Amino acid sequence: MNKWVVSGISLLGVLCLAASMAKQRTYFRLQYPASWPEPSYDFNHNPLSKEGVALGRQLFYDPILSRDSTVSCASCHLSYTAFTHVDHELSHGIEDRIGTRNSPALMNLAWGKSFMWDGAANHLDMQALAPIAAETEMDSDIATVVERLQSKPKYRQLFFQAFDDSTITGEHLLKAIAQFQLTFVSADSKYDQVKRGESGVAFSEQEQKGYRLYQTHCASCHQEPLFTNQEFANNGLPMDTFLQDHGRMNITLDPADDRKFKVPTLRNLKFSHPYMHDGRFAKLSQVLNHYAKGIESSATLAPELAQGIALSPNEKVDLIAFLLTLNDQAFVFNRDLAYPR
Amino acid sequence: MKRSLLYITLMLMIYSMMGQKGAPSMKLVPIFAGETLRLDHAYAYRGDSVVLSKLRFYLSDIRLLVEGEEVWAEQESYHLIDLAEPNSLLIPLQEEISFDEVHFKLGIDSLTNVSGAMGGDLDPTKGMYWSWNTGYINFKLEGQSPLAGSRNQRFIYHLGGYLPPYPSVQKIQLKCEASSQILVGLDIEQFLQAVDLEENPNLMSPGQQCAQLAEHAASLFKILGDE
Repeated sequence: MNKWVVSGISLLGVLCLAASMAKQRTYFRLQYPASWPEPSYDFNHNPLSKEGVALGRQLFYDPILSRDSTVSCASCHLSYTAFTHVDHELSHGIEDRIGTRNSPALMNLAWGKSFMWDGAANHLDMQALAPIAAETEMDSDIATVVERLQSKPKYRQLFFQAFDDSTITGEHLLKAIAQFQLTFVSADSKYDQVKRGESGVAFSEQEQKGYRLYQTHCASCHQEPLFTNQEFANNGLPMDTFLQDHGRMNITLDPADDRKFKVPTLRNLKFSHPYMHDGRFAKLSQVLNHYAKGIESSATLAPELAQGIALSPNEKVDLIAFLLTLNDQAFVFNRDLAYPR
Repeated sequence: MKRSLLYITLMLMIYSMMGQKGAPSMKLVPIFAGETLRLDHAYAYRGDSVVLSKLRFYLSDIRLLVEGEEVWAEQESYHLIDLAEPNSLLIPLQEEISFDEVHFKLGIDSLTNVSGAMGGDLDPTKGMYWSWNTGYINFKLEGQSPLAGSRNQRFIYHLGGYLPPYPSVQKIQLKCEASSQILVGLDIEQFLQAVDLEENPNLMSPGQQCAQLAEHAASLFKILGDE
């Protein structure tokens, strides 16, 4: 028989077999306000599916990712506290090892351009590699995690459902964790409801005053609607002499980036204290006092902060009232994001 | 049903083997002291000895040219070359093509570095990815020598980084006799001569030194002739 015919038939057979085995995945539509910008994440590279998100959720809550199986992603990123490690200045990993940073709250990650306080992760997919490998966090490595997952029939099944492949790979592991995290959309705070013109929802007079103060003093970095411009800035925090953390400069090696950290979102502040990369402020009033009179001048200080942000006691109360309208109860109590039962 | 499946698989295997026979290829030949480099073998070096335990690097974006004109560019062109995996040293090229020049990159381009999780040779489980400052490690050389001023006399050179001003990916252009099978040598002894084993036995982060060493590594690829 002609070898082309044989190979053609063979190929057809293999394709039919693959098609009959491949289970149809269910498209997962990411819901977000129509007025928001387009996400930065390239969904063509990793299309969301119901199965992929469900797998990512299992992985996010499974301590199998850590060396001694004690710590999961959720240990430092708890859904009820806007996915951060509440009440810990610096987050800790396995064996109570203390890290060097305050775990960031996780939300609206599809709009992120880089991840972690210093932007060390250039893509959401790759971010999970850092905590898996860090000695003070999970102290494992991705090859070991893949091997462990491969030995669990449950995961072989879940990976097959999500990616048509029961052989687990680093690529699929990272994509699944990213898929779950991409569903962390917080867009139902009072602020969002007011913006959407929902009936019966309006800012109080105090919140309205606070909104104006925010627009004057905060909006250049903490831009609406995500309340971050996704950039890095030095906001004048005096250097912690023990941590000696130079932030973004450690990644770019550029002295112009010294002491710059990712501009965090202002959403869900009620749930995500303490504040700043090293968690030095437990309360919002301390944060405002820092901007009023605590700013340390240096070559890389954000120019907007050169004179500090002088606010009267009443203005501080008004501004905080506005900031609290960015809390999203529906997000933190969303059962789809909580521990999978 | 089972038998026909077996038959199909067998035919596919035979056919794919037939396709590979005599196909054009590029074979990489790491060299030390004028001979083919062997891992875990003690070589005389600078009045002392050196043992190399790991040599892994990425080759990407392979293109073939004839008289200066590009005649073929490999799609999805990413190859992890690992001296401990001899199969990886042989890169099959396009069928039925003769060329007199080959272009490729040592390392992974910046776009791929920022495009998220990849599979195959680019899967981060391959150990060629930095997690603390995301990006591919383009080149790894590790070994041991009494000349190395470090604990256990070990030395580790991991080259990578894609951000300006110190991107480490390197373009390599090699002219050869018109041929379809080429041997490309890489002299690791000359690589070691460019580093200071005593003072600087470890390099594992991007930066100026890393980029310079990557440039040097790229200059060591030479056509040895056709097979």
